[in-house]
Amino acid sequence: MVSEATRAPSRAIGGGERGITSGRPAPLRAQPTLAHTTHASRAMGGRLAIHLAVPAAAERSGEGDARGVARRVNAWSALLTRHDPASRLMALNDDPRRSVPVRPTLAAALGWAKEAARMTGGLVDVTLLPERLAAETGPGAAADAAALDRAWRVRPIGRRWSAVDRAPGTRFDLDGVAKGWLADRALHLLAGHPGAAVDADGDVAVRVAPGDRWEIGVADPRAAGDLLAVIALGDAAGSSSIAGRTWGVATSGTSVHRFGPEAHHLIDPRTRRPAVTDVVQATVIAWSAAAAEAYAKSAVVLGAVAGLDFLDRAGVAGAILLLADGRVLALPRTTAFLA
Amino acid sequence: MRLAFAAGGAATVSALVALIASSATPAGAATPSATAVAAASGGAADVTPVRHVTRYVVLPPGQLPPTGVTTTPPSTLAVPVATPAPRPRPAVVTSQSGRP
Repeated sequence: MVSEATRAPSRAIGGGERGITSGRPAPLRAQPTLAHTTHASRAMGGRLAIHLAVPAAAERSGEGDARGVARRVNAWSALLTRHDPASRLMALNDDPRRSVPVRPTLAAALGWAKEAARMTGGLVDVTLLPERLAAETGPGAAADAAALDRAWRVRPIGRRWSAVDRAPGTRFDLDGVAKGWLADRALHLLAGHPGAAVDADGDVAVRVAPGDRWEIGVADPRAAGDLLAVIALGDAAGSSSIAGRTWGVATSGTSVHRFGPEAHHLIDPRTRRPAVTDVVQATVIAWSAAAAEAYAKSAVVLGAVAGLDFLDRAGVAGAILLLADGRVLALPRTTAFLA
Repeated sequence: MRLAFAAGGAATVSALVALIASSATPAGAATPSATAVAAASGGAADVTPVRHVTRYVVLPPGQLPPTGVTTTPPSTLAVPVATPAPRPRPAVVTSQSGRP
């Protein structure tokens, strides 16, 4: 694991003193002078950055907590990846039984995937691994899956174990779904810190300390280092509607994982082919990174007009879309968050 | 392909393509001729110009709008975002996965 720690000053604000104890929620009141620290490493085949807002006196403690959470995220992601034949996800995919016992982490991740499917009307579908592989390598990868019954469920079978019921041959892919879910889970582990942001390869879970502010850049996929926008969560006045709440900011799109002129990794479950869409990239602000990721992916699959309509009705806090013709559009309510 | 006409509200459809047709008639849409209208209404004195205005065409999944047609969300759903002013790059950046 490559690791680095950096420190940046945050806004100096007045207020009561309090120490930090990991795992205990920090009370919602103004914090002493906070510093933003960053612990960067790699996980899930991409970057993992844990940013903390900590009182200056607690920076060393914060760095230790960040390292611990990074280790946990790496351990969880090792269970959920399709890129390791020894992962628990791949053991499930390769299991010939119709009903397969699974342990809590995989069960919880699949449980979220089921909820994401419900929230998005089926646009998030984690059973499309054959179709994604077909987009990468050719249609032969999905030939056996065309007639597959994709119905599946997770049900508890004991205090810690669950069972996944599905037709043998169903293969799950949790790549995008898991990253937002892991970001939220990591943020929960940092509940003892006044504020934190966990960036799980682009899907960001945030909790803002009272009086603090996080700025989140939205990467422009057309030019490395450029930004489409900057989202600001929180302000110096400590907005009660933002501080203390958890937020998610996540981005999905078709321009990074491309395998040919029309082949990319976002599969439209209605056609089971790479989505044909006028949206290159969608960023969503929601109440969790997992929800933001699910809605961002859905907006890309739906296209600009239907996608914005869908996001509006879903009640997300904001959304920014980059269209194929170069326009950058946002849900009108997003402007409250633009720096 | 279905046609949906939205009158002041957002249509809840899978994909809406605004074909603002001030004078153009989209391919495939039938436009009755003035003669036909006159015949149907009983006389040349009653001829009324007829113009079809197609506001939205609903496309099924997997289809893009025809070449030259601009996809335009209504202003109630979308506002343009200006390029952010030069500023220090935030430490936290959201992006598509796999991007360094």
